[in-house]
This record gives sequence, C-alpha cells and structure tokens, in this order.
Amino acid sequence: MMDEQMATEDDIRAIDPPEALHVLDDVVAPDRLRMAVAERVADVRRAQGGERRLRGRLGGVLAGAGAIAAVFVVLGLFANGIITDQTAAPSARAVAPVALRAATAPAPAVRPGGELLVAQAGPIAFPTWTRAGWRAVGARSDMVRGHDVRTVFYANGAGRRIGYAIADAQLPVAGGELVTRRGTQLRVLARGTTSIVTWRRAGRTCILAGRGVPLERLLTLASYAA
Amino acid sequence: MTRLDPQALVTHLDRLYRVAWALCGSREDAEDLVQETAARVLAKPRRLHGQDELAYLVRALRNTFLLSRRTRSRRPQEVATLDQVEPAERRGAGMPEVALEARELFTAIAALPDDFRHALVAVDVAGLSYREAADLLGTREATIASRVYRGRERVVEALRSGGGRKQAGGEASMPARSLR
Repeated sequence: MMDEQMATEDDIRAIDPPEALHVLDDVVAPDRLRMAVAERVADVRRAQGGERRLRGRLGGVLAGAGAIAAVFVVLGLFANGIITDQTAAPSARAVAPVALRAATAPAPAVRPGGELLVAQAGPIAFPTWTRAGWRAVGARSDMVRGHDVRTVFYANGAGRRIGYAIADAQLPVAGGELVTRRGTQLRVLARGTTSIVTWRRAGRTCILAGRGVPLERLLTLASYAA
Repeated sequence: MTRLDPQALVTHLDRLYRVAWALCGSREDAEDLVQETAARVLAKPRRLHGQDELAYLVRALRNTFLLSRRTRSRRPQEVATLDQVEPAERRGAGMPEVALEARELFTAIAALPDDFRHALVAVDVAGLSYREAADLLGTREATIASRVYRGRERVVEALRSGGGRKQAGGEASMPARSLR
C-alpha cells in the first residue's frame, strides 16, 4: 500500500483535524434530496402501518369467524368508510391536519436574499417570514390520497408553531368564511384554539394552520404568501 | 436485536450527504448515491447487530458507492475527470465563501488514494470513532489513525497548493491560504 508507513503516536496527536475540515459541518443536504428521502421513509412507514393494521384487523376476525365472516368485515369496512374511494380528491379541510403534525425533516435552508427558503412546492417557494418574527423549524412531505403535500413549520419567539402546507392541486373547499386581506381572498376553515386558513395559488391549494395563534396573525401571513 | 428506524435516514441525512460528496467528489453524484442508499436500506427491515445507526448507514452508503463504482467501471465512462464534474459555479460567482471552501475540500478528499480517503471520510466527515471506522473498513484502529493522519496531511497540502482542485495525492507547492 502506498505511503502506508505507520505514523507515530506523537505524529497523530500533533495533527488535529485541520480547521478547514470544520467547513464541512455547514454543508447540508439539498432540499430536493431531503424531501425525496423523507418521502421514501414516509412511504415505508405507511406501508408498515397499513400492514400491521390489516394483519391486526383481518387476523383476529379470520381466526374467530372464518372466511365468510371476513367477507362481512371487508363489507363493513366499506360501509364505515374505512376503505374509501382513493380516486376522490381530498378536501382542503381533510388535508389541513397535515399542517398541524410533527416535522419529519429539518428546516429547509434559506435562499440568498433571506426572503425565501429553498423548499418549494411546484413553482411556489416557501417564505422565511423572519421579518414577521417567525423562523422555519422543520418540514415534512406527505401523500394524501394521491396528492403531494409539502409542509414547512415555523415557530415564533413565544414558542408558537404554525404549519404552511401546499397541496399539488386545487382541492375542493366547502364551508368556511371568506375574508379579504390586502386584496387577497382567503377562506377561514377554523377559528378558535386551532385556526386554519386556505387559499389557492398557481393551481395549488395552500393551507396555513396553527394552534393558539391569533387568526389575524395567520391571515396577515397568508396575505403575504398568497 | 434492534431494528433500524427508517427515520434515521432523515436524521442523519446531512452527514450522509457529506460522506457521499466526499466519496464521489461531486454534489450531483452524492445526491444520487444517497438516494440509492436510501432505496436499498428501505427495501426491507434492517437489523443493527449492535451497531450504532449512523455506523450502519455509513456502511450501507459505502457499500452502495463501491458497488456503483464497480458497475460504472464496466460501462463506458460518461465523465472522465473530476474537472468535468465540477459544478459550474466558480469563485466570485455569487456563491457563499463557505460553499466554495466546502467544494474545494470535498474535491481534495475525493482525490485522496482510496485507503486514506475512506479512513478520513469515516472519521472526519462521518464522525465515527476510530474503533467504528476500523470495524467499517476491516482494519486495525492504529492503521485507521495512521491513514487519517496521512489523509489530513494530504488534504491540507492540496488546499495549500491549489484550492483542492488539484489531486490531493499530488505535490504541494506554494501555500495559498491559512488552514489552521
């Protein structure tokens, strides 16, 4: 082996990692890679969860009542809506809980300029909202009935947390209350302890949700993002 | 026996990406390598056999790298040199200084002879202990220590002599910047 003569213990102690190597600590994976890996992991988790649920449900029933009972169970699942039509688009209200879940990936990096994050959903880049007192603290990526939903989570100085989710289509929105802020039409789906605001942009559905955050605060942020 | 939590891939993603970049010498190849490793690791449940999850993932990444390199060597070369796979951005093109320094470093590490590179990547980039690195590379701790030492020396020399764009195995010439 070339140059394989052993360094002495003193040699080894004499040279710490060069400071230049510490630069590598600042290198983070690009957001597209983070999203792709997070999606793969989420797929595996969903598959594992589905397998376990199916085994649990069907295993017990089959053992007790046999194959005929299993048919009834499956019919029952359809009747109760546990098995649903996977082709129907979810409503914005159905997607909104994603924006309140836990992050599965670190906060995306900030683009030069400081206004936008490197994370984006189609043509829409997520904002930093730092000037409004928020900072990105995490992200996640989900598939909701065949629709890609990207979410970035933000926290403010008071420790409040909000989630900004963007679904890859114009999802149906029913109910709620239409409000206008800075000339932008927004729809309030929930107000109170949990506030949810939705709007459409570039053929996508945007959802901003938070617990314990004043609705007006969400509307202001949404009006800047819309 | 402990199972690998798939979430570990997300938790250690930045580190895996750095390891991949140091092995491949290019960001694009590093992304591909991490994606391929993730796909392989997630293909079935994995057991850790007493290993730390980071050590397990670094081993999986390295194995995928070696496998892809063997496969590639049997195919016609699409890219011939490190210069050709350098990202388009150059010094002064608006990229942060840190990014430039990191790119030079990765290039210098990727140009190290295999043994030095794998030892240095395992210890300095992945952050494994000498014992874990020795286990990963199938050698003794003392050998790892020696290789890491030589690898660091060469990286420092390469950066001094040309910002890491030249081969880290090459001769050093005039110092260009302070490293320590």
